[in-house]
Amino acid sequence: MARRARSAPKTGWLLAGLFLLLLLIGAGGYFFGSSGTPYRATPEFPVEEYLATSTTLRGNTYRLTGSVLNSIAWSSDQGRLISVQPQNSDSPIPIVVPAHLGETNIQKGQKFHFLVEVRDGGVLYAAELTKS
Amino acid sequence: MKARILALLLLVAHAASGQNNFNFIAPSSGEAKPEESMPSAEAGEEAAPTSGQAGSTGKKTSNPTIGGIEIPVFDPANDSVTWNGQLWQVDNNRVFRARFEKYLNAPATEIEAQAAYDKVVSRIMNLLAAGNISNRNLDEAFRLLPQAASHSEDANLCDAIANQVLGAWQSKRQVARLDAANQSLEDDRKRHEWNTRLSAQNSALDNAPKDTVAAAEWAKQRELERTARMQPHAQRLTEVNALLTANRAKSELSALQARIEFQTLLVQLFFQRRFRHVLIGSRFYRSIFDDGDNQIRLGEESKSLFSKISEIPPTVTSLDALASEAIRDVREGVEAVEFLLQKDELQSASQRLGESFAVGEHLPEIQQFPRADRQRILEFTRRANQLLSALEVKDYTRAEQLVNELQETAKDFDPSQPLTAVQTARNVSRMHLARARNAALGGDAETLERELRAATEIWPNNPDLANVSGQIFEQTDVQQQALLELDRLMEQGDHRAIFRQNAKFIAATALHPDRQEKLGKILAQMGEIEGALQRAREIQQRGDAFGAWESIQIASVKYPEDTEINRLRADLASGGAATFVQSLNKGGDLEARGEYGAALAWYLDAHRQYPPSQFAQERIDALAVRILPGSSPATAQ
Amino acid sequence: MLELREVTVALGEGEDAPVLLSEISARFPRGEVCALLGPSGSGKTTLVRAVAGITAAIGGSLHWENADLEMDDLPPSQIGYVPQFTIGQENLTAEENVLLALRLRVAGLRGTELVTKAAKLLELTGLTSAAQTLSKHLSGGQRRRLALAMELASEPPLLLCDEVTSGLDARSEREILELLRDIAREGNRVVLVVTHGLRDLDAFDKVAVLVGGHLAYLGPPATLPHYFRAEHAEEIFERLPQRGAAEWHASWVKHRAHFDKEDAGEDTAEVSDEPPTAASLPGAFSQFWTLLTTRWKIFFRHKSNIALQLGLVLGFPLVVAIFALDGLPAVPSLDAELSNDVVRQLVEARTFAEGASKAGSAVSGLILLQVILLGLLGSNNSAREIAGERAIYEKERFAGLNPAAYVAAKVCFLAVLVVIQSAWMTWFVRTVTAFPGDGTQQFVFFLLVNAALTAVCLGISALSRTADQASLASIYLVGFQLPLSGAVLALPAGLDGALRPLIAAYWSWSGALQSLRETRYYDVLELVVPTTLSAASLCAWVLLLHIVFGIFLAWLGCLRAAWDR
Repeated sequence: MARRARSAPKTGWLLAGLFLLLLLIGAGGYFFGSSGTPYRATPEFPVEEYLATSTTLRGNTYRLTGSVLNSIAWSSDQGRLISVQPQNSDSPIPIVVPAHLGETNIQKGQKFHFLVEVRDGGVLYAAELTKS
Repeated sequence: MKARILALLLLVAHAASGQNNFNFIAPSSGEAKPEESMPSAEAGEEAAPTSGQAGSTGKKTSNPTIGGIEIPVFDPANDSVTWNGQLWQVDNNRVFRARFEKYLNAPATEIEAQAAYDKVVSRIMNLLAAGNISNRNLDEAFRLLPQAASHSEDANLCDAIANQVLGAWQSKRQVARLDAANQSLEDDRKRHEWNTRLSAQNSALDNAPKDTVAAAEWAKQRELERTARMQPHAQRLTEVNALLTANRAKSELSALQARIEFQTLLVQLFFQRRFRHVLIGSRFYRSIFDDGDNQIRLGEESKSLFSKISEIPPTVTSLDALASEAIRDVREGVEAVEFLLQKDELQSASQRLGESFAVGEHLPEIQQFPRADRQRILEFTRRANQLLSALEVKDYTRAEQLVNELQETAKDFDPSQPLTAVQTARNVSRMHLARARNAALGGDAETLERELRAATEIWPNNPDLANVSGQIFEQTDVQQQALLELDRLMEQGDHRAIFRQNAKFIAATALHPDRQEKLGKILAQMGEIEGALQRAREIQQRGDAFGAWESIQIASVKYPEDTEINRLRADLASGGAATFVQSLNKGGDLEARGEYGAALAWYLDAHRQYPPSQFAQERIDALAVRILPGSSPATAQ
Repeated sequence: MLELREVTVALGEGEDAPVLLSEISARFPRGEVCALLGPSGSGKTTLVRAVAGITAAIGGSLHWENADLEMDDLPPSQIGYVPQFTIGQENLTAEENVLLALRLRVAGLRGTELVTKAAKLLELTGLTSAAQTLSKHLSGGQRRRLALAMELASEPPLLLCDEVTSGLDARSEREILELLRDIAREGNRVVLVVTHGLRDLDAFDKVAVLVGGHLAYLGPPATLPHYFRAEHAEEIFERLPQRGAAEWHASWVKHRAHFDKEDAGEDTAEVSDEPPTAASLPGAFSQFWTLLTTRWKIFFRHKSNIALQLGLVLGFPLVVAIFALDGLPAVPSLDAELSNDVVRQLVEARTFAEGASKAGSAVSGLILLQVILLGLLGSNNSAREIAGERAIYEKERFAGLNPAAYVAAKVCFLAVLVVIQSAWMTWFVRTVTAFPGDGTQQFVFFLLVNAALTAVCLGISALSRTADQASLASIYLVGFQLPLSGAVLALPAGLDGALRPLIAAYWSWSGALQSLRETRYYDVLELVVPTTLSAASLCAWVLLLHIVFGIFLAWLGCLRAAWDR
């Protein structure tokens, strides 16, 4: 082995480096991806159960991801009643967006993550919402 | 005069033959002597008015009677005769018509048999002709009498004559002649015996067929024929024997008695229209009673009767003359008939022949009248008779038909009268029918009935009658039924059935305003329902099951009971609009339970499936207000 | 003294490997300049490379001052290697080159001392007059002198010259050879010179003749012809083929003793026990700094490069802005009202879809365009950066340059470019097109993609054999960014997962689009974008990894010895 040539890099290093790169990217994907979902800790809203009977869900809080379908009613002090298409169901779900969340510009077709509470009459109230 | 005589005789004969047998000649002694019942061969001849039977149908009219029997009175003014309280046309008598037809229909054999008889009679007459009177001829003639009498056509009249002659001879105590008479009878008897025997044998010419079954048949047939041949001979034989016996047992008659009897016989024969017999008898009488006294001694009634007929005092000679005249009349009549037939004037021909027949039925001219001609006249006569019958029963259709047929065959047939009768009857009947129809439409049952009856009376067989009355009754019947049905359906509440047959019910209730009003309401309702159904179905056709359901749902709210609406609704709800309806229903359930959020979710789902849904929109709006009180429907952000 | 004992060098390691040098035994005393002669392929260059340590010997040993070089190698500063063709920075003056060499190879020189030393070297090599001339303007001879001057920066006791005189005219050649002799004398150096020229052999103290890998003669030039029974030295090459190489060698072995004796007498007078004063190498940071500053100097000297750079930096944003000079299409909004009118809704939806699609594609397109162009800039930055001066790098590395310092200097130099390019792009496009969204986030991601591609292309540059190769590879890399980014067409699912991590364009584009999150554009992106976007943090993470990986590649590439020149 030549004296000056001792420190020639092997192809193995290259591959190891590539592998490490991919690994790190994957890890990043996992961490960053999962942390991207807001309200991860809250259970997901059970659409089917709600449609069958909402009494059992009363008082609970859930997260619901969906896109805005329609604006059904509006009241300046109480907020908006909108219908939302959940991402995993065909049935539209009505949600009341209270006035204090009204700053969020809610447009048809926008996707949001909602944190909803089930109140009296099985009516859903949005506690928080973030754009998806 | 001749006509009168003829009429009288004709009618008398008809009355006698068709109706009761009666004794119309009563001797002035008041004693109704029963006629000598002469056994007469009935075969082939209509009832001879000889069997004694006193009594008759006494009638109300003041027709003269002979021997208690009413005499038909001839009214020359209208060619009619009053008898039995009825008015008869001269040749319009049903009985006469029947007899005449029978004559016309006589088979050939009868005519042949008649020919044989005629021959004998002619011979007798020849023998007794004025220039030929001699004892020998008399005897000859006398001898032929039984022969003549052996023919059934004679009706034993020659025997009667022979009897009288014999009686007369006996009265003259002409034994020799008696013996000779008896002798001839013997001869006759023998002859008949021979004939009998002969006819008992089968003809050698007869060939039996080979086949056994047919042979048996043939043998049977031959047997029948043999019997038939034998029969007259055998019968005659019996008669002859009886005569012989009678002759031998005959007691002496007083000369006068003999004469009166003879006269009676002659008169009888005359009235029986046996003119040749009259001639024969009268010649025999004159030859026997040659004292010139041939005044007929009759009772007073008979005399008066005679006087009505003619001013000539009744003598045998006059009787003879009348008989001859009658014979001549008939002969001329027959000639006329033949002439008319040649000209195809069947009506006149038949009339003539009828008249001639009425008078000289028994004469050879009549009896020998050719069959073919008879047939022609028969045809005509039959038709004429049928026509008369049809008119009588008012079968004008048939009458018309017959008139047409008669017109074709008889050139001199005048159809105007019958046709007029037919037409008149028809028109009147139609008029009545029309009135009846109107009455039916107007609901006037009384008039209807009356007019129908009138129409029926006038022309019972009017074909329209059946139709119209049927229609009318049907109509009424139908209307009635329709009303009943309507009431029933209304009670049941089956408005759809009413709607389906609305035309019928509208017609039926035309005259019933209260029902009409109800019907109108029902139909209006059903119209609405049907309209809704139609709309819904149309929408469904376009593939829009949701829209169809909505449409029919609106209707079902208004008419919850209608089966069709419910059915369509159910179909849609379970078919094309199933998911949509399900969503609405679920929403409804949840809303009822107070779960407004979930209910709204279902309504939104329904709206998603079918955005134009009114129902969904309504509920959504309602719930929106409930969830956000005081809110307004949001506008676009 | 440099001693070779039975040194054998073969090409490769197998039994059949062609032998380049076989059993060379020789002594080269200090203070002498020795010529290495021989026909082509005789192993002269191989011998020098073996001495330098570039080529490995499979047999025998090399000794310097009786120390086995294998065990105790001379530090880089102790061996000077002057290659045949000059490898100095073209855009630096002679003086600057010498200064550079000094700074890279000799620690502790500063300011005046540095300048004085440089002047001395220049003087030594006779380049004083040409000190301010740019290297590319020097003549051939001057270049050789410069090379010598640079090699002498660290005052190596052993100086190896590879055909340093070839291609020069006679006069220049003579001058160089005299210079070499002076260098040998004054520095008490061993100077080995591979040469073809036979004219001025008397300038040399010793001449070694190699033939076919064998040493045929080592001795004074005067006796050379005699030994080879030639009248003139020029005739030797005619003689050589007359015998086989081994014969010559055998013959030499026989006569060696005689020459050795003479050598010994000459040598001993001048042997000293002074340990060679090894100049210490400057620290890595010093080298780094030197390189960095030099790089900037070169950068600014290179007018056409500047022009190009400016052109790209200014031009690319223009290209982007052209597509949206009137601003971006606005995003239509949908009527959110619960409507019964299906037809109207459909019409609205369609109109919305059209408008949204336009807006979305405009935004996405502009972002992507910026990403791609910046990627292109990045690759342009660094593709030839290392590969283009590989020889110089190798020389310096031989002379003790720290590869890490080198790479670091490159990175820092390029970083500045990257920042400027990205910043200008972001600002310009945003200003002209009123681009919505978070500008900072956009800048960050543009920066990252530029940096990532710069780094990776730097790596490619370091790993490539030639600058052209590096350029090509970089272009391909950039070229594939666009289609494989998934921004234009969605990748098929499996491919998606496999390739996505490696496509910097996707991450940058995705991250930049996230800057629009708070705008309406983000809502309609879903309509337009064929692939899912990733979270900004993830995108940044991946791009950073790309940058790191690129730098790692560059370092790896710089470690590789590329003595193929």
